[in-house]
Amino acid sequence: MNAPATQSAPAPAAKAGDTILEVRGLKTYFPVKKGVWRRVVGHVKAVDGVDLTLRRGETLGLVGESGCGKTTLGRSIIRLIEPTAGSIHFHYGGDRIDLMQLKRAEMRKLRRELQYIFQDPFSSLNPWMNVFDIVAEPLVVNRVASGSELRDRVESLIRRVGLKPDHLRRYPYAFSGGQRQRIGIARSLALNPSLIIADEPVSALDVSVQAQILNLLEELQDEFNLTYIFVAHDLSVVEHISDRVAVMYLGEIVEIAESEELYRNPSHPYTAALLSAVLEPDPDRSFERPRMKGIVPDPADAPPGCKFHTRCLYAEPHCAREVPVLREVAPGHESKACASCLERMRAEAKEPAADAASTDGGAAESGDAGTPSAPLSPNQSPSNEGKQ
Amino acid sequence: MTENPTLLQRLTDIGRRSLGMRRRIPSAPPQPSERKKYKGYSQWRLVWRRFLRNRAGVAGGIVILFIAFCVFFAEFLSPHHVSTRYNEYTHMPPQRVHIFSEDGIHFPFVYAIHGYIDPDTGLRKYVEDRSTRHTIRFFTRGDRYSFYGLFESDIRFMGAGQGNPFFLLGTDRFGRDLFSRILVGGRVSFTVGLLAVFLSLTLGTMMGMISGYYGGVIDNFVQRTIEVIYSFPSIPILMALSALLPPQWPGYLTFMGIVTVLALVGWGGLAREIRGKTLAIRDSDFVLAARVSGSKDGRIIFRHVLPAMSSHVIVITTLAIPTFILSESTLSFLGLGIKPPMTSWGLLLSDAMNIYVLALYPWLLFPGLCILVTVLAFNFLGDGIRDATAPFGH
Repeated sequence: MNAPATQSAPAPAAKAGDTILEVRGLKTYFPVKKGVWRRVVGHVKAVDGVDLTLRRGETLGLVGESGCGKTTLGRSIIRLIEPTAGSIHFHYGGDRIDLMQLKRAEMRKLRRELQYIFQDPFSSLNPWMNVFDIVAEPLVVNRVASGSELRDRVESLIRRVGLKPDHLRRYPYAFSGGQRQRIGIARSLALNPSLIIADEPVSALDVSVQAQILNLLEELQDEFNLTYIFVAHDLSVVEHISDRVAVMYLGEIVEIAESEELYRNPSHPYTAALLSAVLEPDPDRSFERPRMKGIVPDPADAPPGCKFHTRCLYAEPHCAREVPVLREVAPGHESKACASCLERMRAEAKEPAADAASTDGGAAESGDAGTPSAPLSPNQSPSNEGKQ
Repeated sequence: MTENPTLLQRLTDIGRRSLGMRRRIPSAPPQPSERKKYKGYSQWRLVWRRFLRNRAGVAGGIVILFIAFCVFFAEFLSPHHVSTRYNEYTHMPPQRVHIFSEDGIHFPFVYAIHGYIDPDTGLRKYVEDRSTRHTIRFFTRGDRYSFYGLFESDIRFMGAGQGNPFFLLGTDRFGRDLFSRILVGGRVSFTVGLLAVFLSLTLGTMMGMISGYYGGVIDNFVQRTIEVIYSFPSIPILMALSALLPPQWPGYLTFMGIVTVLALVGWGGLAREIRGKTLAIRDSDFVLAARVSGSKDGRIIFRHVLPAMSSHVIVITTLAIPTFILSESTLSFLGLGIKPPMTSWGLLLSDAMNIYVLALYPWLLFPGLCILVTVLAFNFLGDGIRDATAPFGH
């Protein structure tokens, strides 16, 4: 799974289709209440102005540290959590439907198209229902099938995810984590959805089982023409499965690019820091300290300006004032990093040649236009002059 | 265990088992064939298996089943009618059942008994008349009774001949058989507990689930209501409410009235527990999954929340029954509950209200013992079920 970045990325052009989902300015705030009267004293900005466009048939990886709002974003998109503001346009049968405008009952009908795979295979299956009832539930509540047709469909679903029909009368406790996740996948497939949001579907599983589940998800994608939003914190997993990757920090998307491009040419200091923290299964490679400082700030009290500036190694005084926007740094590659920060990042990336061979080589061949070729390198490497 | 345990090991094992201790030796992992049997077992089957391993719980369950059986067939099992007064046998102590007499072994029998006034104290005393034996007979004729209005009969489980003194637990101040009264009174106490729990559970589950599932203003309202109810001291509010029941009401109406009063005062605790559980389940992943599948609230509540809560509900129900039994006893003891000619354990206990009576006629405390045993049994049963369901309950 941890193959070098240059090998594993699937060809995105083959899958690229029309737009299926457009998210604009999506915000999900949770009120913070205090005191006897439960006065609202602030908001946790779990998702704070996210723009996303999703193409039919692609897999968008969503990565970030714990608490950055990945899960909330995923759940907000299908209104499992009600977003505070923004629009979510879903393309369905030629129509462009704003999910935010739908009434509850209408949304319920559209849920057939928008399914969700849960992170924890142990809590996402009702322990009091047997597997048949669990997998059949979407079909039953939407009145899609009944009787022998229902049984046939459930059996074919359970076979498709690699379980046997005689597993159907057993209860969830009798299954391992990987098997349970297969059951969860069968349930989310039952209604033949077009978009599946997978919330860290493998992070609770053993590494060997992770690979099986990832392969299953990829097979199913080809077979049913699924679009995935794949939430994860494990970069190697995301790299393996994603066509494009979006990096989230404190409720915002700070960088989004095709998977290969992002891993080869990270263009936001946060992305670079995340990539530097990936552990490679190579005993000769020394462990590098993550290239950022401090911990995630309280999302209820996010820093002004660039939200990352409190942890950024390249921060300058203006970072605390100016709010950066997503801008294209290469074709199909958008980043929120400001120009000065990007420059210094690129410069530093070239300097320690021995450090990370794959990153370095990738950056060189990608031919990053607009980067001044190392005028302020070696001994001028950025100190943290402008941190606060 | 090893394949060939030594004698010492066997003996210690037997010793431990007889002391009711858990075996310390870890049991071998279940064989594949054994594990196969578990496949397809529902949660309930697993819970049942675990419950059976809990001695105290099983014992509690058996005691409760026994009590339930006794109070259901109370008229048949009791030797006398509840209100038959034996005026020459007032405040008679429990009678001894004999097998041996001067002339050998007999079928169990009791001696005839004579009362007299002790000239020194002025109290009534009793002495066995060894010349007359009344043999105890089973399925014999006694006072007529009506079995829940279904049929009438005079066949009773046991007796020593009609009109003969046969008072296993003694008599009260009117010469009524305490054993018979405990059986019949037990029915009232027992059913009060069950009915009150049923009522308050219905109310509590409804309010608790609505409160927990919808949250917000509704939750606040329900929770504050419960707090208001709970902020009254329980005995005065119980007394006040039961004083509202008109005294001219017939017995069964009073009975239902008491049940209602108990349920109205007691539903809050159940509602709270169910609310807490609902809150936890409402946000669990499998409920979210049901919503993703397109389930409506009703289906989520009845298919997902309620079943996941059922084991918990059973436990709190079992543990709530004894408190209702105790409350009924308290009310009846204070003269505000069940009214004569009906009787209940609490009402029977009210005969033993002062120390003078207690010192002279200690057998009048037997109904208290019955309450104690029943309450303990329910508690053991509830604990047993709780332990059995804990690892599965979500």
